[in-house]
Amino acid sequence: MKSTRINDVIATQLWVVIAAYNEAPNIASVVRGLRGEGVRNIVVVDDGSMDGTAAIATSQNVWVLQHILNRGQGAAIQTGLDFALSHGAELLVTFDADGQHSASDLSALLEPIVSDRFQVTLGSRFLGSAPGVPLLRKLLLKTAVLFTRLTTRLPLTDTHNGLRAMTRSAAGRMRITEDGMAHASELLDRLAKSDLPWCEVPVTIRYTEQSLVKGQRNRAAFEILFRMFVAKLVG
Amino acid sequence: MIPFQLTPFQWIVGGLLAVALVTEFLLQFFGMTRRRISLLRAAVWTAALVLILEPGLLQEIAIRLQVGRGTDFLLYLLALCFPVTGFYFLHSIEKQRQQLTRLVRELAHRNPVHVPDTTRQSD
Repeated sequence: MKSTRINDVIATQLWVVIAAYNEAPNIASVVRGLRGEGVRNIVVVDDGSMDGTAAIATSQNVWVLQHILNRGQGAAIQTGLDFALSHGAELLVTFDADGQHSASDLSALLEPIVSDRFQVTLGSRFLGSAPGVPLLRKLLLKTAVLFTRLTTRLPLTDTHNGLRAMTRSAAGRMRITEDGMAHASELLDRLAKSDLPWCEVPVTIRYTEQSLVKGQRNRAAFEILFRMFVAKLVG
Repeated sequence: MIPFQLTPFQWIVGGLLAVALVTEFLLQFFGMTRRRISLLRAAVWTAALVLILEPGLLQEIAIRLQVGRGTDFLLYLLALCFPVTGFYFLHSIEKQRQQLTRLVRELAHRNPVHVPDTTRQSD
């Protein structure tokens, strides 16, 4: 059962940022799920979709920002974070638009921050549950965890989980410059270099046939590695 | 360097380079190109023209620098140019990517859309 304090924070101080690219079939239900948890401030960043995602999001009583060109998830998230910060957000959550995340995890994700113990919380599917995760995907994610542990020294159990929460101050200190999927690694890199207190929270990731088809391809791992290399080289 | 002693290759490539060089000067003369870039290109065409017409020159430089043959000298030069050019383009592309994202973000922030649902009172 949620505490009144968390309910109050969710309703007043929290902004949820959703980066969406061609998510017309899912965006309405994702927003409804968040509304069901009491979230009032939602910003959907339509990253150059061609399937009417923005129109559907607009009908859901949320803020909608539109990228005229597809710039990638990292760019869209940062656009949403900037917008939320400029509107006085005190707490920010990044949430995937494909329906993989569960809005009911919000309270658990926010509790460590609301209780002033941490400034950043990261969702972990390996502490929680991820029914239906394909074996190859699981292997890649585990390899990514190992790689991130080696490069950042953060004792993580999950790396590319889009469900995360942060305070206003933390969001200001961890600006994303990577446009694509490598933003998740960049964020962890920045977290490691900061002195921000953080923790992982068990969350549930639902893999559906649709999300697996549309989501990150396995070769994305190599693209992310290349982007990280380029960023170190010329960043 | 007497014209009738030139090989057909020297005539063809040297001729093309001479045309490029003349074009460069004409563009410069009529103010149709940026001075620094034009001068850089003209320097490259001139160097190439001299080396095509006088191949022994490259060999002589290689001997003086003690890097073996002229082709070895050319190879070393290319080996140096390749990473420099690569990094230059990588940096340029990265910069353009960041500028493009900033522009797209700025435009998105200028036109936020929010249509309040008037049928529900709770929001």
